[in-house]
Amino acid sequence: MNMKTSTLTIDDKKYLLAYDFNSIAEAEPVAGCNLLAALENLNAITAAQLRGLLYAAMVVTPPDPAPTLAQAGDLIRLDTIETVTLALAEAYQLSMPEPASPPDEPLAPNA
Amino acid sequence: MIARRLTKPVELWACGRKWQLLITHRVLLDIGELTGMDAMRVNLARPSALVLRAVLFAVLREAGAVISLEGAGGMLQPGAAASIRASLIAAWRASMPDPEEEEKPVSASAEPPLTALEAWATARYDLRLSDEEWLSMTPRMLHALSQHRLESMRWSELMMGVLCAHTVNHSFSAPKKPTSPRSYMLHPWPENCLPVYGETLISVVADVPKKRKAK
Repeated sequence: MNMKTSTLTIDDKKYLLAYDFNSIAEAEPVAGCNLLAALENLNAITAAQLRGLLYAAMVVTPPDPAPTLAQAGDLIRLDTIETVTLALAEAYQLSMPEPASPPDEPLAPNA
Repeated sequence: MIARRLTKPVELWACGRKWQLLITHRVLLDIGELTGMDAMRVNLARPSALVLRAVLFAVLREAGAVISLEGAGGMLQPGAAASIRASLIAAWRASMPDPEEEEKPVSASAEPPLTALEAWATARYDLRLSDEEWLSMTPRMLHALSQHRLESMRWSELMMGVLCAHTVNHSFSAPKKPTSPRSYMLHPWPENCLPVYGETLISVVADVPKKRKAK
């Protein structure tokens, strides 16, 4: 499956992030919290949920070696938290289905 | 399958066709195995991704769809997840018993819902259902059977209660205030829905003041 990814750059290192429901479901037991609830209310996200979402987004197309939850957490610092959040939001946006193209406008009746 | 005919249909489009969604006890056990939690206590109003994927997979498999767990997760992508979740909640409501009319106040002493093991034990021992019959039923159907059994028990208890009350009320040391058959029942009807039976009519008639004999 061709996943659309956003790029997160931290300390000159690039990570590919993608939204995938299966990876979120599998990351929940690892992260120990409800990640779907976090996606539905990003304004009230906890640190554990943000770390879990970053981990879930990284393991879709993982770097080699695959990151651990703790390594994903290490990327979230006071100076990178905004970049991480924006990259996650972009990955989520990219996974949205493209809107159907509007139907052609009806031709004007002949005068 | 009788459950399909007795349950309000809720359908979902998947794998190229529509499927009727049912939450049977088999589905609840599957959810329990996939999530590690007791499915009788699953909260679909605020589910985790793990629970939502497991519910969708178990429900579609019960309906007959050939789908994998990852395939179910693949259906739950942004744009489709909300409508799928709404369908699952509708199916859940259709398969579960209606909430009690008079909700009991929530307190620390309130009874927790049945576990899957307790529900199975009730079905096997009290209702004499086979494992397969229980697995194919929705909790709503099981509740209907349990209610029917309770009603049957109440009528049996009422008959014994009438006998006991009659014996006590007409004994040598009868109480000043006659006892009612209800007080001898182990599972009495709620106060607001007592049935009308022979003793009720007799007690009502007894309360009517007797006409004075015409002089």
